[in-house]
Amino acid sequence: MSFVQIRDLSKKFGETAVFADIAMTIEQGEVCVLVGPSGCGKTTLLRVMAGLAQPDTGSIRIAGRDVLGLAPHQRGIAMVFQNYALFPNMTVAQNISFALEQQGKRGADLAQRVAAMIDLMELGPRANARPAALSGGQKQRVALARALALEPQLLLLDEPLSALDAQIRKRLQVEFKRLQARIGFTAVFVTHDQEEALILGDRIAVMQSGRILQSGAPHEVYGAPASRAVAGFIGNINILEPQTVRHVFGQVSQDAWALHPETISLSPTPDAAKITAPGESTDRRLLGSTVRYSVLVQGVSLSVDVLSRPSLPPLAMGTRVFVEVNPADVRLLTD
Amino acid sequence: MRLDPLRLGLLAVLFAVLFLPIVAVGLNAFAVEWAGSVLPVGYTWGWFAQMVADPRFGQAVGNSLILALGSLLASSLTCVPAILAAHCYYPKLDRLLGGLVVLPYAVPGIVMALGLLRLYAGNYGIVLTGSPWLLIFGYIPLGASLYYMPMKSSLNALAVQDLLEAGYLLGVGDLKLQWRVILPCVRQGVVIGLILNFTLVISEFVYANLLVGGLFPTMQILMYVLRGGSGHLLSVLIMVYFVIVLIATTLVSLIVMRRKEAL
Repeated sequence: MSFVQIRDLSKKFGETAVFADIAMTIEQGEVCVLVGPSGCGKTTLLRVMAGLAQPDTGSIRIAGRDVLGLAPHQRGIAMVFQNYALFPNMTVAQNISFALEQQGKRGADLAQRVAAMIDLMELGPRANARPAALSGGQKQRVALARALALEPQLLLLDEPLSALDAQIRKRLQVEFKRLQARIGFTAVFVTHDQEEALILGDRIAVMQSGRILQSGAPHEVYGAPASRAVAGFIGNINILEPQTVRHVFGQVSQDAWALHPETISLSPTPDAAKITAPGESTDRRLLGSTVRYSVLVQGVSLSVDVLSRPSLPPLAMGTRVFVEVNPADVRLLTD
Repeated sequence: MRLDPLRLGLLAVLFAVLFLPIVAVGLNAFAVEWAGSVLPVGYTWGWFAQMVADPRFGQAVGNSLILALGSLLASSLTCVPAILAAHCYYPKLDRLLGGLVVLPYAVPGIVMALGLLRLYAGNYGIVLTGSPWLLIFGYIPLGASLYYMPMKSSLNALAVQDLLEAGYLLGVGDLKLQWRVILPCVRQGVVIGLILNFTLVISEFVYANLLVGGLFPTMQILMYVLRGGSGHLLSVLIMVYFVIVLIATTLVSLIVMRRKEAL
């Protein structure tokens, strides 16, 4: 039996359904990332799991225990909020110890645990600072320390990195992964950032309009999106309707095609073993390790990612090329 | 920052407008005689000695302090929890409260005083007429807005809902959360409210005169009594009033500054 089991969970605000028929399982030690656009219901789902909101129907079991009737603090859950929710009048150490005091920890035991958490999160020099004196990244580490100090059965994180700048965000993503590998906590991580979801999740669940569209390992969801909606949200996938497939590549297909930008290659001459079509590069963006080209093929613009090599000059705008797709890389969208 | 002569001149005028009356009252309190000259003719502590020897002085200062402290206690115990509860738990009521707290200032003092007399004259089972309790409770509606504005300013800067929910997840109850987290965070607003209330009550005359009058003479009522007599004695009383307000606000400010340094 899975460590966390969510069944038929539904929630309405008035007549508006926030989410409906949510079913999800999470194994112990797994990080499940709920990813979806703003307003899709992922934060409300997290709040229902935490006990901060009540569902209309359904059940939530954590470690075999039905937690729906329990108060938030009785569920074995800790939560990291989007805006940290650190107690502004307390220092870093006091924020952590206040949490532990509620569990009845006192004296040397309490001090030892607080020190261990401060050490774990490398907050030593800032232990006596108040939240107002901390950077965004440090605040997030304190929030995580406060949550982990409670040794929760399930850690919930509500877009914890969304307020941080890109560089700190990337660093904290790495730290989060390292910490998770070290402690092995079970977590549900909410984000609207597809890249973050793919990096952090052992499993990702794509939500849209209050429903989970697809759930699975990151490579499964990214590599084989089950629907147009998932393909449209995860990555920068080219979605070609059957008539467009015929128009661009001259292929007959009952289903739409999902083509990942990195599975399309550009060549000066056509390769007979591949599906090819002539086109013209119209735009070029350097994304660091890759260059993203927009190639106009039969009036349809395709995104193509090519590895960036300093020794190879990038294609000039207006260069005529052949786009090539390996048939094995075509993903069919059946919805 | 360098100040040009025009700015310096404007500052000097502003300073003069603000402080000259106080300086003049102070000089008059020490003046042997002050008429027909720019400065007093001689200085003396005599008026102070005469004022202190007057039994009405001690009674008025004592009554004013009793009223001020009693009113502070009553208003802080009613207004502060009400404002916190409305902001944190009843946002709809909070909007209503925001309108209610300015009402006492929209209604003429005489109307409010008559309303309070009617309320506390036994018509509703509460008889407080002629006692300082009438003033202490009567000042609560006046004081509410003086807590409301600075406290709301502090509360609006906090993500209260998130803090409460973070507390609930830790197993902290509402009372403890308010006491340990929310109240310390809005302490500055509460202190500003306390100072403003103290100043309001100790300098208030209309309600004191209409509601209790000679039955519980305060400093303001004694000032009213003295207005037809010696201007020097009146100046002494006004100076004592200034000093009391100054000491109270300085004490509170020092406490706040010390707490802020500790943060």
